[in-house]
This record gives sequence, structure tokens and C-alpha cells, in this order.
Amino acid sequence: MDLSLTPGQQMLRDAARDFLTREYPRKVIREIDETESGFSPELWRQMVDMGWVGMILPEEYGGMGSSFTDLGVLYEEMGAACLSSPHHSSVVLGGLTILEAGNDKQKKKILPSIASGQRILAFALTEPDYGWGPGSVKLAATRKNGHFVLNGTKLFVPDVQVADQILVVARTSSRGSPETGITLFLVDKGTAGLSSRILEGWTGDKLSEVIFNNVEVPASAVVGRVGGGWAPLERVLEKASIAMCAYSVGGMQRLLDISVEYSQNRIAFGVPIGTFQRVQDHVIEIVNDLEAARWTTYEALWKLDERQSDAPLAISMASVIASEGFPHSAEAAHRVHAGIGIDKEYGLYLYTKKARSLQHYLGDPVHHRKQVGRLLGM
Amino acid sequence: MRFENVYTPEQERAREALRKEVRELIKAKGKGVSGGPVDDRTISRDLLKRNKEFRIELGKKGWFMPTMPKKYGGAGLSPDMASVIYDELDVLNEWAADGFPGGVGPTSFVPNDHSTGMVGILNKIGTEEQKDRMLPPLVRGELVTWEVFTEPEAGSDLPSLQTTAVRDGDEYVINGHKMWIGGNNAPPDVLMTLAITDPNAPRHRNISVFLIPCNIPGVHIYPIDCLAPPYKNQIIFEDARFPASCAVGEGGDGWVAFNTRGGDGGREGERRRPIDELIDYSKETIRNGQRLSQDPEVQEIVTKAYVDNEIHRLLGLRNRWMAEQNRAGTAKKRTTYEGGQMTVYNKQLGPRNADALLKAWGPVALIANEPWGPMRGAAEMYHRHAIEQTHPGGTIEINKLRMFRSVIGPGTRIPAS
Repeated sequence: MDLSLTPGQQMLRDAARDFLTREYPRKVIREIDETESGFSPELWRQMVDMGWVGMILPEEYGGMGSSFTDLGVLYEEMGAACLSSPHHSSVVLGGLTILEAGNDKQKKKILPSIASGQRILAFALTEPDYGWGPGSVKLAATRKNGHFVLNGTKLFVPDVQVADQILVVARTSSRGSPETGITLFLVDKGTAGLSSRILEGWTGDKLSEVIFNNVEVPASAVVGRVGGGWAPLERVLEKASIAMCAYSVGGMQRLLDISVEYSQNRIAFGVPIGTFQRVQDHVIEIVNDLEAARWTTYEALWKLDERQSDAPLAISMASVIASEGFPHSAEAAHRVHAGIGIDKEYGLYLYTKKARSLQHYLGDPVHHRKQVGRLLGM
Repeated sequence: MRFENVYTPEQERAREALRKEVRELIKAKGKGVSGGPVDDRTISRDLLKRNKEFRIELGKKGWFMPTMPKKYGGAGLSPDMASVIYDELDVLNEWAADGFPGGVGPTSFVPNDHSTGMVGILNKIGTEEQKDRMLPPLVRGELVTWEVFTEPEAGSDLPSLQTTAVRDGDEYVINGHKMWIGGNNAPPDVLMTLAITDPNAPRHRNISVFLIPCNIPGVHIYPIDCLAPPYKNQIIFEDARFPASCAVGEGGDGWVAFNTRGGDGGREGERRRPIDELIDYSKETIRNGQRLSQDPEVQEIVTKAYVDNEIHRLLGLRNRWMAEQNRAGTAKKRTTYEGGQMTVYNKQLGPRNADALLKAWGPVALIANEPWGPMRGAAEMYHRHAIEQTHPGGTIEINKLRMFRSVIGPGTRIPAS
């Protein structure tokens, strides 16, 4: 047993932490968040330069062939900074789906440009009948003269505003079980009949509504097998989920750090508020959420890297814990901070709204708890 | 990262050889040494005697506290090798296997907190002469020990204890009232007792530790009728005289020793059995024509409990790993809140598990009789035991206080309110 990071992972963590602390303090994150696109081309370029964008993809496609634990280490630091970028949509969801399901031609053409950051993908699964299982996919793709025509609405899709292409999860058949009849399409954003708008509200990343109105795509846009999209997608969703768990771990760690600091510096009734046991309780709740999420997440990452058969169970369990723990920790941090917590300049709210968005992203705690039950054979 | 141990072929061979040796000892000498009722008040003297004899057999091999150095009566094994022994002994620790860490039954062979805590204190403040003299009989399992700390007016606020030990020539005279005392391996031989030796010294520096033999005049032990085993006792010291050589350390260092004692990480990081029982019983039991686990509400209760217990397992694994790193001198991160966090989690998990058993199964979870009571009736005991375990070693609230102080670190300590 060795629960320490490898020297390489420690270097990755330290480099990411130094860079993000120096260049992307909460003030800068807030400025990016307040732009219309929520996207910083400068940050994206820096992420490419540091090798973060391609790292999880194989070397033959311009990546570094890093492990999922490596990815988790990076995501933890990105979460600590509350960073927003299309990394998760484009590389983890998009790139890994192409890698899992795509043919050789697609992999050779698409993956190197994802790894170099020149091509950005968005990933569209959820719809008005919200859910992350195959049963919730209704967007219809019908054959017409050797082409496919897509009709329907995708909802809550991140990063559409900066993407070149959208990886669309569509239904080509309604017969059989919900899994059968799912087909994946890679659709250019400029295709006729495709329109999108950013949804306003209190969301961690910019989320869009994407409407497909007789969007015609060639058969070459299909990624993988017609009707065989769900199985590879399920494997990618697992990896994408555990990456976001690591992001949440980083977020909780930062919430703990700023809450501890504030509890020692803020004076009330002539003493630091950390003197009050009611305040201490909130800090302890964050510690408990954090440590539970940290170790379930890293065990799941390890199981994934080791290709252990019970990795999906570990991932769903970590997802339950992280997606409940992050918003809960944010709430506890607000209790510690009181007034200053609602001051946008202080920036605690960045974590709070991110945590709330992430609670539902890739499946809420109820979804993952049901997965746990299913995988336990209940 | 690696969440499990990987062994070289050589290590595998050593583990297998040790396993074989333990099995042989159990086969040769382990007949009728355990089992019996989980209720340690009704256990027969005869079984206790056989139990002690086997514990001494283990001690001869250094296997009662296998991680202790050989010169003190241990086997000098790594915690990992020691786990081979503990795993094999589970065959005998019938009730330990049912999810009561350290074993509830009086016939547990895994050293409990009382034994490891005493060794920890001796290691911390004992002089070399004291360690050479006192450790071997404890480590070899020859002496049953109880921690004698708490008093009627000194529980969570332990430094307020009032028992006094006054030096009189080559002896001490002890007077006082101790409460909630006792462990599994009744009856005790030695009492590890905290008492005030210098009433004029400042708080925390006025307390010393003694290893007091039980068989001296003036030591009176009275059982308390508690909810669940391990049953507790009151002890009255009434002008009891014992040799000055029973003192541990230099005197006045009792509080420091108490506060920093600890086990060897033992079996932390293993899953508790009730959660497996909860899943299996729910899957196997048919009610109203369907499996209990097919009820969505039962499913939710069981999966929540599963997640809860997995967190417990992983926090334990983390602590065990940190203990190993500390022992090897390779720790990169200082251990701070982790011990307190585990204590808090542990104390909260017991009642939550009991609640899950009751909600998922209904009233059978409160029944001891076969065939109705699940887990051979242990489910009902789990309810009582979980409540009882929330207090020893400090309440949840006291442990949260300790945890917070560790979170902010010693350098930035703020005064307690």
C-alpha cells in the first residue's frame, strides 16, 4: 500500500498549483466568468503549452498517455482554483469518446487537433427530459439518402459557445432496450439548422440550449457503430465523472483553507470566530466532506488505472460523495464567512455556484446511488 | 498510489509460512478457547481460563502483540505481517467478525485499546528500566490490563480528576473513585491508573501514571449494569498501598502520556461486517413475494449505508498508511486531524449503521432469538453497542474540539472558549 503521489505527480501538482495561484487568483477567475463566453483564449493557450490539454490522450495522437490518477491530480488543482475551461468537454468527454468509439481515420484526424487545443469539442447528452441514462436520450437521427437528419433539443450543454464541433448523443432506433439505438455524431457547429444560445442564470460554467432543426449530417459524422454508441459512451462517462470528483476535491480543499484562515483572522466579541465551537463545527464538516471525497476519488482513479472490474462501483460511490460534499462544503464555508461570503469581490460564490452545477453534472447523487445499488446486485 | 499491498514472491512465501504456522497453533491449542456467550457477564470461569492459556501460547510466539520488538515479547513484525495473524485468529474471534472492532466478546485475541494504549504510554514516557521490566508480561498477553482514567466528575474534562496517589516511603497510597472502567478480557491483573501526585503543580502537569496490581488490599471493583458489553465497572481505591516501582515515567507526565498514546494502526481500513450482512440479508430475504432489496426505499437505505461504511474503510486505510509512514520515518505530511476524525466518524457510524439495520429490516433487527434475529442475534446487540461506544475515549463533541485544534495547527492555536 502506498497512498502517496509519484514524484512525477508531485511535480505536476506543484507546477499546476504555482501557476494557478500566481496567474489565476479568484479575481481573475471572476473576470473570466463575467465575460460573455466565460472563456479565456490566453488560459487555453497556457494550458496547451503546459501539456495539460493532451495529457490523457495516447502519444500516437499527440498526447502524453498519462494515467487517470495524473489527470485527477491536475483536476484537483484546477478545482482548487475554480478554473473554467473546455478541457473536460473537449478532451475528457470528446477526446476519450473518439478514442473509445471512433474509427482509425477519425482518431488520426481529430485527436491530434484536440490534443493541441486547436479543435474544441462540446458534448451534448442531456435533454428537456433530463437524465444521464440512455433512456433520456430522445433526439432523433433518421436516415435520408445516405445522410442522417437530426431533430430535437439538447439542454444544459457546456462550452457550446467556444466549440468547433458538438459530439451529439442521438437516437437512431426506439426498439429494444434504451441502450440499443444510441448513436454518436460529430456535428460542425455551423451546420444549417443548428442553433444555440447560452442559458442565463447561476451556473458554474456557461450552459447552452442547442436546437437541431432538420440538421443534415453525412454518414461519416457517425462516431463508432450506428446503434452501438452507448457502451463506449458509458465507459467515457465513468472517466469523466471521476475527473470531476477530483475537481470537487480541489474545490473543497480551497474552501477549507479559506474558511480556516477566515476563522482565525475575523474578530467578533473580541476573539477570533474560530474560538466559537459552532463555527468550528462548520469547518469540521468541510474536513469530513473533503477527506471522504478525496480518498474515495483516488481509490476509484487507482482502480480505473489498474483496470479493476469494480472500478465503476468505486466511481459511482465517489460521485455520490463528491457531488453531495462540494455544495455542502460551500454552504458550510458561507456559514463561517457570513457577510463577506456574499461579496462578489471576495469570490467565495464562484465555488458555491460551481458546486451546485456539478451536483447534477454527469448524474446527480440519486442517479449514482442507484448505480451503486445496481452494481451491488440489488 | 496503490490502495492494496503488493508482495514480492519472497514476501508471499513468508506470509504463507506464517499463516501456516498460526493455523497449526490454532489447530493444536485453540480448541474450546473462544466462543461462548457474547455477554461477558455470563461467561464461565473455565472458558476464561482456557482463553488465557491460549493467549499465553500466542504470547510465547510473540503473536499477541506481533508488531512489538522481540526484546519486549513481540515478534518484531510489520503491521502488514501482523495482519496475517489477526486474519487467522478471526476464526476464533467469533464476535469480532460480526463487526465489533477489537472484539466484543471476552475471548477476543486481538489486543484491544486497553493493551495497546498501555504499551503506547510505556513507550512514550517509560524509562528503559521500566520498559524492560513492565512491557514483556503485557506484550506476551500474560497480564490483563484495564485503563483506569475516568471518574464520576472527570469524563470529557479528564484533567479534573481527583484521585490522589501520595508517596509514603517506598510505597504510594492511592485514594479515589474511578468510573466506566473495564474491557473485554475480564478479570484484570493490572490497572493502568491516572492519579494526581502533585496537587500544587499546574493543571495537566500534576498527574502521573501507575501500573497498579489488582490483588492488593483497598482495591474494590463493582460492576455497573450497562447497556451492552464490554461491561463497565466502578473502582474504589481506599488507602490502597502499592510499591513505588509501579510508577511509570518520571512523575507529572501522565497527561502528556495519556494524550499521545496510540495503537499500532491495527486493523484499520477493513470493512465492517454488518454492511455485508445488511446487503446479503436484504438480497436473500423474501417479503410479500419479492426480495427486500427490490424495495426502492430499502435499496436507498442500504446503498447510503454502504457508501458511509466505505468512507470509514478508506479513512482507516489512510490512517494506517500514515502510521506506517510515521513508523518508517518517510511521512511527507504531518499527521494532524486524521486520528480525531476517525474517532468521530467511528462513533457516528455505529448508530447510523444500527439505524440502517432497523429501517431496512424492520423489527427483526431488534430480536435476539433465532430464527428471527438476523446475524445470529447480533443485530440487536449492535444497537446497544453502538450507543455505548459513543463515549469511551471522549465524546464526539470532545473529539471534534481536538480535531479543530489539529486543523488549525499547533502554531496558530487559538484559545478555547
